[in-house]
Parts: sequence; structure tokens; C-alpha cells
Amino acid sequence: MTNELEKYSDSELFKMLSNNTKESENAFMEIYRRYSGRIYAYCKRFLGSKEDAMDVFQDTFIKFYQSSKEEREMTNLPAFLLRIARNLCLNTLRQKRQSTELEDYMSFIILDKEKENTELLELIKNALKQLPEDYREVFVLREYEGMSYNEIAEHLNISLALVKVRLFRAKEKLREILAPYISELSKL
Amino acid sequence: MDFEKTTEMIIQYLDGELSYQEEEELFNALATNEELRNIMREHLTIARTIRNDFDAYQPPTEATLNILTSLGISPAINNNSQPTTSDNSILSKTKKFAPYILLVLITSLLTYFVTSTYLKHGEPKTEVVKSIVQTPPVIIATPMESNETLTKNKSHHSIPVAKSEKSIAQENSFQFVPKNSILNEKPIAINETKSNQFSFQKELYSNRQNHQNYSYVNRISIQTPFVVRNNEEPRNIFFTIRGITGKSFPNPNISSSDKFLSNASVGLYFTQWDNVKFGIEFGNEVFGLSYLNVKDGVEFTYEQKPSIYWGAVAIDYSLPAQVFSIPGLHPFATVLAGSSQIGGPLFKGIIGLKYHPFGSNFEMYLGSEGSLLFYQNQKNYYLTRKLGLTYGLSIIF
Repeated sequence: MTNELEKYSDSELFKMLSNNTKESENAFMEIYRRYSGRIYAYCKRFLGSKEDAMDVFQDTFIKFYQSSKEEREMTNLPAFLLRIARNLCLNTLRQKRQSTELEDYMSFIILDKEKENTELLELIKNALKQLPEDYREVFVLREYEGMSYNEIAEHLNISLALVKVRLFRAKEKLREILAPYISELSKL
Repeated sequence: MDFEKTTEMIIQYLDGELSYQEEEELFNALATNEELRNIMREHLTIARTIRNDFDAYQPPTEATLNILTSLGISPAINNNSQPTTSDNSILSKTKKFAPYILLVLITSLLTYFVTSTYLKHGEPKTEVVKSIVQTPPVIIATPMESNETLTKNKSHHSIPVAKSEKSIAQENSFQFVPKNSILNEKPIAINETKSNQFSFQKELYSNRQNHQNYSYVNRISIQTPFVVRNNEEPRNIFFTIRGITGKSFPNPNISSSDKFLSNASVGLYFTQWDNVKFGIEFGNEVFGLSYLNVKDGVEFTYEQKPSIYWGAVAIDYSLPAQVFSIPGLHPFATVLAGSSQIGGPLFKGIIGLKYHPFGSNFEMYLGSEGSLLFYQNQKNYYLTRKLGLTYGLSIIF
């Protein structure tokens, strides 16, 4: 099951998307194979809800495929996908802001009661939901997408200094929330 | 140094964003401050834990399927196909089907070679075939007393040889054959067309000149599972078409990419013995696949449910009427071994019942089928098992 399309660059695959059906389908599948994980991780950790993440993730790739039929030069395909995903995530957050805050608070309370049985990863995911959107987004781009500070600044169209500040606050906030658990876990 | 500034430097250091001088500054601060070291440990623990958050990178199969369905893309699309200028050219089609054509040719040639060399019709000519016929697996009788009066009155140059034992009357009838032909003390097989029974006589003589001295005749009847066909009998050819239904293990919860005439197979068999057929089969069948793919150090599980083409050689055995006596019904077993479109070996086993109406040139069958499909991805082998039913029709020429 070797994939012959693996050797093609992102821009070559993007060009194939506008060709005949079979070829464009194959190219789409290869792009999907390459970036679906990253995009899904971004949606899931940024939105904090699996259902919302699934909707946004699906819309991202559908939008991407539809927009690929337009004439354009593709220089950074993952960034392009992330941009689509980000816009959709922000729309979703805008629509769901009030209700999610309450749900997240409740879920954290429930989790707090079951902390003895909860692994650190689950705690991080829930702690992540407590972060303000701006901080959370920078954190997800750094930790889940592996972007450098400069790439984050470019992607979000903000200054490098602001990236540093947001990341510092996001990580410190997480650490403060998780410090008691980490301390407990290290004793085990 | 400012505590908050150093904490910020810890984060930037873990993100690989510090300069050489800044790193030195940080290490000096860490060397003298226990609290800073604890903060660094905590950040490290969080960072390490997040790197194990593989779950975040796995889009649900449902989401993938929804995307593909929305875009009108077949979920089992073949990623292996190389982009070409024209997929419809005769050359590309020939290239696509070449392995299967080659498989058909090789299996046909092999089958022809094996059957024509070793399994010729009628009286076996080679020693190999004789040994097959004369070493049957089932012994159904033990020594019996010989009829002394019969041998006493016969010529010294002939001894009794018991014929087949279909009835008591037949058991008591004897045929006289020249003594020299059996004195080598080896069992003699009498080939009886249209019967699967052979009789053997092993005689113990104390004196070659005087037949009256023999003590007993050790008579053994042996039943073979095969019936040798004679030269006059035509070689039947069976064209079979059958449907296959079953459940794969693994069985991903996604809809399959059923094609027209998928989950079916066609085959061509010919009779070698009355109960044994050889043949080849080609089919298209849905299998559930689940395999791991490592990309950038992260392991992903891929699940597919494609419709896969396969080809196999087959051997089919039906229980003879003497063993199973319901008219027209024959229990059968078929074993298939071949290869699939995705490049791994495939094995199948079928057991069931055939119904062959008397005098007709077709037969119907129903059976249960088990399949083992092997495939490879990134140098790892995977196995899909499938269990189900098969039903079909054979036309006999």
C-alpha cells in the first residue's frame, strides 16, 4: 500500500485539484492524509468541544476543496488550511460563547471531583478550556501545530512581542492550574 | 534577575526560542533557584504530556466520511494511482490489469501441468499416481478365513483372488489369476471403474508347489475417497457464479465502496475425479481494513472498507453418494488460495451443501465461507478475517 502521491509537493497536489476528477480526488486524499490530523487537533483543542471541532473540521476541508477550483498560487498549504479552520472556529466561538463558558465551568467542576482517577492529559485539556480564546489559540498553534513564534505572529497577524506575552500567560496559567496535580503525580 | 522574566525565559527555552546568551543567563538563574527549577519541571511535564495527546490528531472516521460524501469522493479511493495525463488510455488500462491477466495465465498453466502430468484420466500410468491409488486411507475390513474347498480343486497355477465385496454373494465369488503374478506378496489392486472399492489379497503359502498347505488368506478391503475416471468419460467443466455475504474482522463503521457486481465471484472448474474438481475463481468483495500509518513520528490508524478484486486457484471436494445418501444433495468443501488487488495472499475455505437435480446440467449450492486476507503497509503485515455465507449456481458443460 505505498502511496505514489507522497512524493508530490503541496503546491503540485494543489494544482492537481483542478484537473480531472480522479486525479483531483487522489490529490485531495493525499492532502487530507497529510494535514487532517493537524487541522483536527487545532479545531479540537482550540474549540474544546469534540462536536464543534468535528463540524468545523469538516467545513474546513469542504471549503478548501471548493476554493481549490479557483485560480490561485499556493505557497503554504497548511497555513491556508489553518486560516480557513481559524475563521470557522472564531465564528463558532462567537455563536457559542455564552453557553460554552457555563458548560466548561461545569465540566471542570465534575472533573475536579474525579481528579484522583483523571490523568494529567485530561486535566490539561480541561484546563485549556479555561484559558481566554486569544491565549488558547496561541498555545494550540505552538504546542499542537508546532509553529515557531514568528510563524504564529505571521499567521495571526500580530507582533512577535504579543505572541510571547500571550504564550507566557497561557502556559503560566496552565501551570498554575495543574501544579497541584503535577506535584501529586510526581509523588506517585 | 526578575523572577517573571526568568519564568518567561524558561518557556521560551523549552520552545527553542532563546539565544545562546539568554540560555546561559537562564542556566545561571536555575542553578541558584530551586523554585525556578520546579517551574521548569512543571512546564516540561505539561509539554511532554501534550506530545502524547494523539487523540487530538485523529479525526473521527465519521467526519472523514462526511467530508468525502459531501464532495462526492469515494471513501475507498485508491491513493496508489499515479497521476497521468490520461487515465483512460489503453496502455494504462492494460497496465492496471496486467498482474491479474498474468495471475490467470500462471494458475491456468500450473493447473494444466499438474493435472496432465500427474493426474491423468483412466488407468494411472505413473508410479506417483499408483501410489496415491494404492495407499488409500480407510481400511474397512480385517482378515477372513478363506474357502479351502475352492482352492483345493483348482489348478496349481492359479490361486483365488477375491473381487469387490458389494454383497455376500459377491464376497464368495472368486476369480482365478495366474499364481506367478501375485507371488511377490504385494497387494494387487483391481481397478473397478465407477466404484471406489478395491480388493486386495495377501497370501501366505508355506509351499509354492502345493496350494493345500496355505493356512489362510488375509483379505483387506480398502476404500478410497476418490473415483478414478476412465478414458471414455468426458471431463466436465463447471462455470460457477456465486454471491458472498459476510462480516469482516475488523469491520470499520463506515459505508463500503460497493461497486457493481461486488461481493460476487465467477469461476471455472473441471472434474478430475468424480468428487474432486480443480479450478480458478475471480471475485470482487468488500473487506474491512485497519492499519497503522506513521507520519512525522505520529501513529495514525487508517480504516477503510474497499471493494477488492481477488483471484485464486481452487480445489473442491464433494462427498460421494455412497457416503451421503440424500438424492441430489452433496456436502462439499472448497479451498481457495490466491492473491488480492492490494498485494497480499488470500485464503478461503467453504463448506456447504450442493443440490444437483437428477439429469440436469446445473447445480446450486449454499455454504459458509471463511476468508483470510493479508496486506502490508509500511513494512507491517495486517490480517482481515471474514466470515459469512456464499450461495451460487454452477452450469455444467
